[in-house]
Amino acid sequence: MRYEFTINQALHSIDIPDPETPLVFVLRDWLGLKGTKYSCLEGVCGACTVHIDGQAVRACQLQAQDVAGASITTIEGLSTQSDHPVQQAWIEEQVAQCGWCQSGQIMQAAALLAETPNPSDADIAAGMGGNICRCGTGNRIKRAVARAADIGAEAAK
Amino acid sequence: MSKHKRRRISRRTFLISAGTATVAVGTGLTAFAMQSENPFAGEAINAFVALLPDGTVEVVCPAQNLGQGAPTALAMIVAEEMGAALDKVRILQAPRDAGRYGNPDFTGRMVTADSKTTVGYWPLLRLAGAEARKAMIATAALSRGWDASQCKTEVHHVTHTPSREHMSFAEIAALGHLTMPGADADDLKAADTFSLVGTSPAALDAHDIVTGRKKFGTDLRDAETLIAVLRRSPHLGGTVVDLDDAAARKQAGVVDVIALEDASAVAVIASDTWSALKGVKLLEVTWSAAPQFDSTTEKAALKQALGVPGDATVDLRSRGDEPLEASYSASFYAPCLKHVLPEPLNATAEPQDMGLGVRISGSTQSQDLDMRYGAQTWKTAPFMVSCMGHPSGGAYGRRVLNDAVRDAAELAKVLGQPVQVIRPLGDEMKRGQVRPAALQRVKATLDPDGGLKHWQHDLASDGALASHLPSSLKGANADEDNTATDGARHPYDSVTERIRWTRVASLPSPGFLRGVSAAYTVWAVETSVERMARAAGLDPLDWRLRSTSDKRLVRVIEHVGKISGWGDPARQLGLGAMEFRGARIATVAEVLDGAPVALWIAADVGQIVHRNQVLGQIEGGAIWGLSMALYEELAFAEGAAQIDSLADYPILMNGDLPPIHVELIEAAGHAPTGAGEIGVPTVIPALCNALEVATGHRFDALPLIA
Repeated sequence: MRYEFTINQALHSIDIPDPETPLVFVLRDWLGLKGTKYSCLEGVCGACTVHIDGQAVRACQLQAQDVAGASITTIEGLSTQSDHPVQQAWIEEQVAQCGWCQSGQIMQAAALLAETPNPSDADIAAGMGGNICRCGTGNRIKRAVARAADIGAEAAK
Repeated sequence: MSKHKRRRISRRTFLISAGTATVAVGTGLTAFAMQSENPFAGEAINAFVALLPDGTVEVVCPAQNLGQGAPTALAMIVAEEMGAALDKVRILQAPRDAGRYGNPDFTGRMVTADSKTTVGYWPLLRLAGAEARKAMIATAALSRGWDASQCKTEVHHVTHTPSREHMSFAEIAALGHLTMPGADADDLKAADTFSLVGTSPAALDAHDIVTGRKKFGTDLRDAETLIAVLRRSPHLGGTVVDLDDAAARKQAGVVDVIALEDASAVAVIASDTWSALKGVKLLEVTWSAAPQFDSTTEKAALKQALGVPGDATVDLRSRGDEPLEASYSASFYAPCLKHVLPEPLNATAEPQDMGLGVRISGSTQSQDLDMRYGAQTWKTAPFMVSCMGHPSGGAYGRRVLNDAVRDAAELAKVLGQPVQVIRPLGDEMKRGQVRPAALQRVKATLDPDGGLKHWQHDLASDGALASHLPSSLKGANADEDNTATDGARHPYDSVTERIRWTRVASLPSPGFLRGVSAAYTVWAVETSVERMARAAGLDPLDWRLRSTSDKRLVRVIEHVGKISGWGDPARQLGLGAMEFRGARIATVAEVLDGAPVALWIAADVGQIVHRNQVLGQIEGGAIWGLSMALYEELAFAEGAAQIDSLADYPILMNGDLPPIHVELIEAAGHAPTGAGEIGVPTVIPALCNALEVATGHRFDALPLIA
């Protein structure tokens, strides 16, 4: 089947033999966008989080046929200069250890801040609570989200 | 692993492996070294450092990149001694060449585990950096007519101190030839002159991580390499009795279906990841019957082993006569645990040399053990197996024994073409390695004045070394699995004592997990001493201070007491402390309404290399320890792990983390200690002790909140 997607603002038309192919493997295997990772493949861990029309979604739970025509943003397309406030804050706070889950964490954080630009600690805990980091960077993640909100607010002035 | 003496890389090895020489000698591994490639593009100064024509310094990272920060920290050590600027350093992953790149603290093997990386490579990389510094200085001095003894290096330049003239590494490189006078221990910088070591520069892969560009083993499959996923029985030890693969073979993208030779699994090989995963689901397999195994009977077997010390019992430490009676007795059960790897286990095997050899690559903690698995499966000599390690998305001990290598090698051999095996988390949770369950019993008595009179600590468990690498067992009789006994040798003075471990073979395959046995032995020790101190009307923190002669341990206990506000009777606080991998660490946990609300940690890790990474390792370990204490458990019933989804294995999530305050005690002049695992163990007794204060209940099993 031939599907069209807008990915990181570029239109792609791709032949995907199995319409049930999860979005995460469309990205990784058909488009070579390996920045989106996966772990549990059952929507529990959040490693594969991407944006569809600005909303954070789990790319392992969406099939190619479900998202045909959608506008998808991955970690590779989050910013053109690698300078999204969340990316800046992640560098400043030295969040990442192995980094495998961090694409998903960053996409989750970016969606959270798009909806709640000035989140409380409770908002951050709730917004980031569903993304697993087994290296144990959770407290740095929460600090970085707060810092990213500050960076975003500064930029908006 | 065969037993080697601790081996130092001599200056001779350094110099001989420098330059363009391709044959390393004098390492005892000549045959292996012959095939290893020189990893450098620039002019080699020694096995670890080279200079590119533009002045960029190449540094070989001999350890695997697991997320623990080894590439950055190890490069910092070289850059410090050399006087290189870290942003002009390029890190190269070492090829498998134990002769040049083995860890001296790992019997010279290339294994990245056991919190031994910084510790083991510290002296070697300092020497390599000093040798590079002296080469820069000697070359610049010769070119400019300076007296080399009046020159120093700083931020990628050689400076002639009297004239304040300097020459950049790029200018030195442009001369086209380096003078290499060599270096020895007298040439190392004094710790109080370090300017880079002890700071927190950005990790060298931080930018790639936040932009999605960092490539892990799973990401590095090339277009010619097929992908395979294996179906295993849902219960332990099942083999294929009947297979219907018709539906799987109809799946678009599926190339082949192959049952492994030992019938333990069926592989679906495909041209894309999803086709392999879906093909596996479409297989119809009848498995041989499940074995009789469950967590209840396993616990009973552990209990029986504790009761009757026998031939399998290993004496870990004993002094004086066995006490007849003890006033304190308690048991401690720790269940099977899982790693929950972020990145799937993976390995790629590519036939080489007309099928005579094989190239193995993947996310790994040990190129040497990958080589062993590869050679055994390929049925070839070790020198016909080349290995390369890629960055791992988490490892935590699980990638030391990377069994995906065996699967990949077997399939690549049958197919005659390169194949990457990935092991999805669901299969790994159900059938992969476990941190084995353990049962412990402590019997002890305090003197009337509160001193430790008798101490008896018996442990029963399986161990990963005993199970998989018996030649690596430790001790005078080569019968101790330190991954099952670490943490049991407590730091307190006792008049008499018995500390013993009995191996009880486990049916699920034992693996190494961050913190290994210290994640429960320290719980038993620290919860026991705290209970006894409280029962005697003594402050448990003061009791520890007066009961140990380890001054570095005393300092961290005192410090954590200070920062946590220990002693406030209105708060529910518990303490845990230990010496582990050379480090000293103490943790105070506070609970409120039955849940942890804060942790305070003080640690002495000797010389700090990358400060923020050390803090991150300790905090990450503490989160793991909290998760173990609160939630983690893998139960077995009817021969199968009781887990159908990651959601069946609760772990502590980001949203529920308490604040964690970590402070490092400076200990300049001491060599670095291990730091990757030390955060895990003491959190568990600290939390248990706080909960016992809060509830008056005595906990005898993990997780504490079932």
